Amino acid sequence: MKKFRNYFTLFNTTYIVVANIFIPVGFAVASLLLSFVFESTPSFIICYFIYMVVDGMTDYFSLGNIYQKNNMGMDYLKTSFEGMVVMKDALHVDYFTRFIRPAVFMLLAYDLHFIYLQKDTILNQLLVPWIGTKNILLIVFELYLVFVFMQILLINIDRYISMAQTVYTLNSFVTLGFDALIVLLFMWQGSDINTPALIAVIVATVALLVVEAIISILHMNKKLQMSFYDEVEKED
Amino acid sequence: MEVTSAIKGEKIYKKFKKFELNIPELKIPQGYATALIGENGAGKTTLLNILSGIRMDYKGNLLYFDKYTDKDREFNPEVKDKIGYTGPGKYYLPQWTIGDVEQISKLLFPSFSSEKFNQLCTELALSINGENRKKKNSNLSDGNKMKLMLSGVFARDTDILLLDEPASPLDPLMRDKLCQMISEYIEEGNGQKSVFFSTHNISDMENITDYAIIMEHGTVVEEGFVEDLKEKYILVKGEREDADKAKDILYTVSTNSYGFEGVCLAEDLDKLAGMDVVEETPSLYQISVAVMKKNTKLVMR
Repeated sequence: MKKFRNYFTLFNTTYIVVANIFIPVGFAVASLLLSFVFESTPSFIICYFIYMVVDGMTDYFSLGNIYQKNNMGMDYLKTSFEGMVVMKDALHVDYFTRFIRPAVFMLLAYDLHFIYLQKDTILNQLLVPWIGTKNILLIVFELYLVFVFMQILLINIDRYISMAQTVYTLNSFVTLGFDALIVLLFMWQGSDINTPALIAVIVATVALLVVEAIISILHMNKKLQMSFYDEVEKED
Repeated sequence: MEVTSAIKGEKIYKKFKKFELNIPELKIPQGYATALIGENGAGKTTLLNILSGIRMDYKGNLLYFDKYTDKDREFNPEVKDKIGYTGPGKYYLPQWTIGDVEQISKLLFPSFSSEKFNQLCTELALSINGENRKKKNSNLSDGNKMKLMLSGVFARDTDILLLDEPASPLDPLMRDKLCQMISEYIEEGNGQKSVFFSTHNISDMENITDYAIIMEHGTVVEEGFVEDLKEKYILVKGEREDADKAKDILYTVSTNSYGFEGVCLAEDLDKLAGMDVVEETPSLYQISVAVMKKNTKLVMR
C-alpha cells in the first residue's frame, strides 16, 4: 500500500487519471464506435496502434526523462532521506500500471464488441475482416503481451535521454513500427498456426516479458542509485 | 570568541573537466547567517550541492553540527531532515502544482508542517485562501517558483538552511521579506539554527549577513565575520592626482574628475602616507567587489 501511496503522491493526478483510465477506456469505446459506423473497418487494430503511440507519448507527462543523471526534480528528492525509496516505489507501481492499462483496453475493446455487436461477424470486426476466428483469444492475448513488451522497451529508452516531447512522439512511432510488424504477422498467420504452437509462442513472449521487466527494474534501480550517489572520482 | 560550526569541511575537492573546486578548510558558523559570495562559475553551487548531499562525487571530510559526518547525513534520517535546501528554478518537477508540492513534501520530510506551509504561501501571496493551489510549477514566474521553494523549506523543522541564490529572482520587497524570514529563523533557533546562502545581491542581503565567504576559481579567497572584514578592509577616497600611486596599494580604484575611491587592507594604510585621503568603513558589497576584482580573470577597465 505504501508503494501505491508514494505513486499517487509523486505522480501527477491528472496523468494518473488520463493515462490509466481515460485513454485506454476512450480508445476501447472509440474502437467500438468505429466498428458501428464502418462495419468492415479493422477498428480494433487501428485503435490498438493509435493507443500504443499515445500511451508512449503520455509518459513524457509523468516523469519524463527522470532517470537521467542530475535531472530536474532529482535535487529535491536527493535532499530527502526518503527521496530515493519514494521514487523507487512510485516507479515500481508505474511499471505495474504498464501491464494493467493495455489489459483494460484489450478486455474492454473485446467485451464491448462482444456485448453490443452480437453479430456473427463480431470476431472479424474485432480484429480484421480478412482473418480467421480460430485462436482469437490467444491472438488477442499475444497482442497484449507484445504491446506491454514494446511499451516497457520504450520507456527504457525515453527516460534515460534528455529530449523534448516531439522526440518522445517520434520514438513512440518507431516502436509502433516494430510492433505493427509483429501484430500484422500474427493477424495474418495467427489463425493458421495450430493452438499448441501459439501457446508456445505466448509462453515464450511471457518469459521474454518477465526477463525484460526484471532487467528494466534492476536497471532503473541502478540508474536511480547512480543519480543519487554519484561515484567518487578515481585518483588521477 | 569561540564559535561552533554548523558545518565544518576539510580538503573538499571536486574536479570537473575545466574546473576544480578545492577548499582546504571550510567553516560555517552555527547560529549565524553566512553569505557565499563569488562571481559566476566560482564554485558556489557546486559547494552547496556537496554540502546538501546532492553531489556525492567529491573528496574530503564534512562534519555537520560538530558530530555528524557526511555518511551520517545520508544514512541517518534525523541529520538529513535537519538540513534544508533550495536550489535553482528547476528544483521541483514542472508539472507539480502547489498542492502537489505540499503533499510530496509531507511524504518526504517528517518535520514538514502543512499548516506552516499554507501560512507561508499566504504570507508570500503565493496562494491566498487556497487559491492557485492547482497552479503548476511550470506556470509560476521565477520569483514565485523561489517563493514556493522557500515556503517548502521554511515549513520544515531544520537546523541549517542551504539556499542557492534565493534572492536572485525576487523583487526588492520580497528580498526584504526573505531577510526578515532568515532573521526570524535564526532568532528562534537560539544560536542553534544557521543559514548558508549564496548571493549576487550583496547589498540587499547585507543587513542579515553575519559571516561572509568569498570564493573565486573554486576556492575560498576571503572569509570572516562582516564586522571583522569591515575592520580588515578600509575604503579610501583621495585626490585624482594620487590615483596612479594609490592603484598599486588599493584592491580596486575607481576614478572620476574629482578624485579616486578604492578599497585596501587596513594594514596597508601606512603605504598611503603623504596622500590626502579620507578613510571610511566599506560596505560588504564594496569589500566583496574589491576581493573579487583582486582575484578575477575578468578584464576590468
